[in-house]
Amino acid sequence: MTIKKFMASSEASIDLYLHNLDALHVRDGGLAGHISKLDKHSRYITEETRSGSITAKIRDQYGTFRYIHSSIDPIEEATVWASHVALEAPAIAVLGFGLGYHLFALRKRSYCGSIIVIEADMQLFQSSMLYMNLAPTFQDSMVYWFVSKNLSTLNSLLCAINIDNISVLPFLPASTLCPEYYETTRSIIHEYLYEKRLFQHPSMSRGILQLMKCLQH
Amino acid sequence: MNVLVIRMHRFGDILQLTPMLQGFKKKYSDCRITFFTSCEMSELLTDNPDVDEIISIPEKKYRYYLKNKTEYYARIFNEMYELISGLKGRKFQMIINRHYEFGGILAHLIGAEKIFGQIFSPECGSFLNDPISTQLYDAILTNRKINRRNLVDWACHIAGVPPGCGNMYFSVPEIDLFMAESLLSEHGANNDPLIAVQLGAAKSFRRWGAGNYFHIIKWLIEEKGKKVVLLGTEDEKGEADKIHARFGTSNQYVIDLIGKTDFKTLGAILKKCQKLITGDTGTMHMASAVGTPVIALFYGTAYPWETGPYGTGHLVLYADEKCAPCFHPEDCISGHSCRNSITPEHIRKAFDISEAIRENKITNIDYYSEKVKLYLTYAKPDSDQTLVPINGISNIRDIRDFPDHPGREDFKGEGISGSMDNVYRKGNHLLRKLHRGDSEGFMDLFPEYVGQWIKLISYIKEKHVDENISVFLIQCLIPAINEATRAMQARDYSALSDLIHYDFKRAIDILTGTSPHTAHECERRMVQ
Repeated sequence: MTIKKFMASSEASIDLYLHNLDALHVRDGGLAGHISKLDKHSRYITEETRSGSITAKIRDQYGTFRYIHSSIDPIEEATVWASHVALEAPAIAVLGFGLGYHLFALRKRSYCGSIIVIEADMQLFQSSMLYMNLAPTFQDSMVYWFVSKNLSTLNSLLCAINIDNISVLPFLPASTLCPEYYETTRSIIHEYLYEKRLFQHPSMSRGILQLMKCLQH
Repeated sequence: MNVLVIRMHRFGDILQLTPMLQGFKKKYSDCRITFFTSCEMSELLTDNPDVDEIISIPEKKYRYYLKNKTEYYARIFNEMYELISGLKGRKFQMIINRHYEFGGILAHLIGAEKIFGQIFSPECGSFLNDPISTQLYDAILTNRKINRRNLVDWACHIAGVPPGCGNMYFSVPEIDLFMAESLLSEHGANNDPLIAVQLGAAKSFRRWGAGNYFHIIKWLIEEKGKKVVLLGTEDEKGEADKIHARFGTSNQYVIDLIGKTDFKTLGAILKKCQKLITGDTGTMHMASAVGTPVIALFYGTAYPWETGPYGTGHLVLYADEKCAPCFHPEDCISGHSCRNSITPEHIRKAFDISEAIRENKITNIDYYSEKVKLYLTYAKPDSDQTLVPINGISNIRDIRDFPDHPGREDFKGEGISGSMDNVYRKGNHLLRKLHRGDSEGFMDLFPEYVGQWIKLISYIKEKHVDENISVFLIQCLIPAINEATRAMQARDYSALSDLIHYDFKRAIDILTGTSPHTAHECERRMVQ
């Protein structure tokens, strides 16, 4: 098993990174600009897994290493994750991008709806650009990117996408690194859906509010 | 036919619906029954052959969050919205609501061709949608004493199936029986004759009192040579402490399992007991469901025709005061004389009669009391259950023809492979929670999953499974369990997912024989 640090990446990976950055620039110039200005020393340590794929790990606040993806077979892990996703949801908000395996698994499963990727850590996003060919996903108009610690504009993005139903799917290994951030993200998405449903389906909404009142008392 | 049954909580009430479910399946062999309940109660129905699907919501958690964490309001709304929208799309032919207002609103939102029980409409509010439910409601409101029908039979009538068409049912897998044996053995009960005593009840006015129970327990130990198992929830520990205090020192004949049992363990413990002595409690219904004879005390608000133990051969002591059954025990002006009129002597006599029935001994029944009536429950097919008054029956021969407690074959786990099936399903359930981002649910259940593996290791050792496999498994499982402990503390979800998907799965494959296993491989791994 080899352990690669960000700076020890091969030339091919740098080409891939630049190729990804170009594609991202076309899609979201602002985000591409932020990524390119990041410090090259990553907190994430990548390593090759038993299956030959790449995984990443990071020390948490207690000094314990925590894996972002399976240390055995991240592709299989992502495939199993994607197999539980209900394909009829018009949109899926994926909380935590990691290295991107589960996004690819979702598309591989022929999911045709919108995917909203929400990632708190730009450095992790940058790491994924070193190893994964993200250019096709940057060109995919049905994939929306929100890579920022500042959640104040998330609601605007949701309103702009204007979807009636969003299935919120945290990718736990990645999303548990910033639990408060992803909790707030979930709250914002839920508030958005709540307001939308109250307006669009008033009788069903009234019934559910009554059920909640019964539960409370 | 697609049927939805709604009952959210109170485990006795849910168990009381199991005969109706059985009757429904007999009447409509192609029907599919979905049961909507709370997460805490879903274990009652797992492995029930008459329930095809259980849908549950975390009712307690929702209640807590709605009262204390309003920031979760939108989330709860959305979860319920999505769940109900999904159920609405299933187009149920029938909904049987046994949960009053909450169930009525739910039934209205989900919709069905026929809805039985309470229903809701925005125009009329809540109302009863079928004549039999109306009869039941009227009976309870106007004069409960007129009602001579058990709620189990009422449920059957409401659902349109014959009463007495089914038995109470609760599945106790083999592994839980094994764990109950181990638990009892830890407390020094090895094949001893056991009598279970449920000390408490959810409401304090339903408790007969630790002092009274102490006399019965002492009598059971000293005169009858029994060991007594105390049952109840953690809240009822105070009652048990009073009994221990009266014994003075720790008594090896009293096995205190208060607060130590979940539903499956409780059912398993009851199966091991010869009898249960209890007030009107959920445990009483659990005993009926697993085929353990009951001696039940009814007074105050409890009315034995309505909620007595279901099935033939249980005994009910009923304090038939003028004011019984009452609605407002907190306003009682007679000092709860109904509860006080049942004395330990009544229990002793009922116990002796119950033993005579169990041993099929023909003997004269020596019981008479003006205030405390003794009844024997009698349930037969196509008929409502009745309570046969023991008062006045001169000879047990009159009731000798009553069948033994009709139990049903428990879901046979078939030893290890059955347990493997259970563990495999639990593992998949956990993976689903993980992949849907339900970290709380995952972390709540993962320790139980690991606990199941620990149980299996004991089981494998006890049952002397093939030694090579046994040693190999234990060597493979113990590091996995240690890694699970580390990963749980670190909340390393990828590692936990890998454990379920690879390490524990490998153990399942070996135990179920789906993975080729040779002595050589076993040796090689042992060396590693």
